[in-house]
Amino acid sequence: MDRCNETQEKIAAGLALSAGEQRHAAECPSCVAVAASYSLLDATLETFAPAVPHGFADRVMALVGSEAVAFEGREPARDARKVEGAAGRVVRWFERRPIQLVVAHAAALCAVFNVGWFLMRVFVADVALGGTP
Amino acid sequence: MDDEFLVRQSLGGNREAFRLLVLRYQRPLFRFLGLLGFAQDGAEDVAQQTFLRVYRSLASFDPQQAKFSTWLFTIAKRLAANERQRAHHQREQPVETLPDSEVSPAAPDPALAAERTRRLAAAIGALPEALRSTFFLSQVKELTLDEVAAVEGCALGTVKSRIHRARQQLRAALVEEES
Repeated sequence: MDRCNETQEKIAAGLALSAGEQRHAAECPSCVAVAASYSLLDATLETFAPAVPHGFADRVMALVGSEAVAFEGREPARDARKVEGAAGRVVRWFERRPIQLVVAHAAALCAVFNVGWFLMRVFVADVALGGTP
Repeated sequence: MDDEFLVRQSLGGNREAFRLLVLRYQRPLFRFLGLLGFAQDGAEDVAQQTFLRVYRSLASFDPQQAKFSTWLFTIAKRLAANERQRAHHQREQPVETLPDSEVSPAAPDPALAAERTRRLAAAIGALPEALRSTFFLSQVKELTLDEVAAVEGCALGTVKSRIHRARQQLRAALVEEES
């Protein structure tokens, strides 16, 4: 009876049986019934797996391809992480999208201001001579 | 080629290496999602999201902390839970969505096989969430029980006990009604 309990416990838990237990499970009517019911359970569970659709990996790779820019864009950031100390922190700080936008806008404003200032110095005589208009 | 090598290759820009990872894990992932109750379309959506999430996060994968399979199924489990939560009213039931040809092909009587599948689906639906998730992960052949424990965030003993209880309950649902 102990043998039956041990064997059936293992079958129930889905654990591998030793050679002796396999022999017992094949001969004992009670264990045969338990093993059969669990085999039925396993076989029925198999039917729950949806088939992998044809071309699934290709579709995933197509999506990955469209993601590639984002993924590859992260590579410099990963490299930057290796830069130790303050320099690394500054590099990472400047890699942030909002920071880059602010810096770009500030640079554009400076450029417009400089062009305007240059034109004023050329065309407005008082300014060019250092006087106040 | 082991998973870690393929991950390193993918990080280096070799997309064929990532494709190999997809091919390696697509079947176990669909199996896991199917057991969780996702039918074909739902399983495909979640599987696709899982691989995309994995790709986006490859740089943060740390092989010292977990095996790739453990990491992938942790992501899949989380995405599946989100998806089920999002659409719990329209949750797909495997019995209703399985094509007739896929119902227990080994069974001699298709009607009996369909009835078994229906009963098993009902029993699966009645399992507590923790038992269901642990049991289904254990059904994925690519994961050892230690890895299932890592995904579930519980002890190995708890995993064994959950598997035992889940199998007992499901078997009882199949056998009792037939006898």
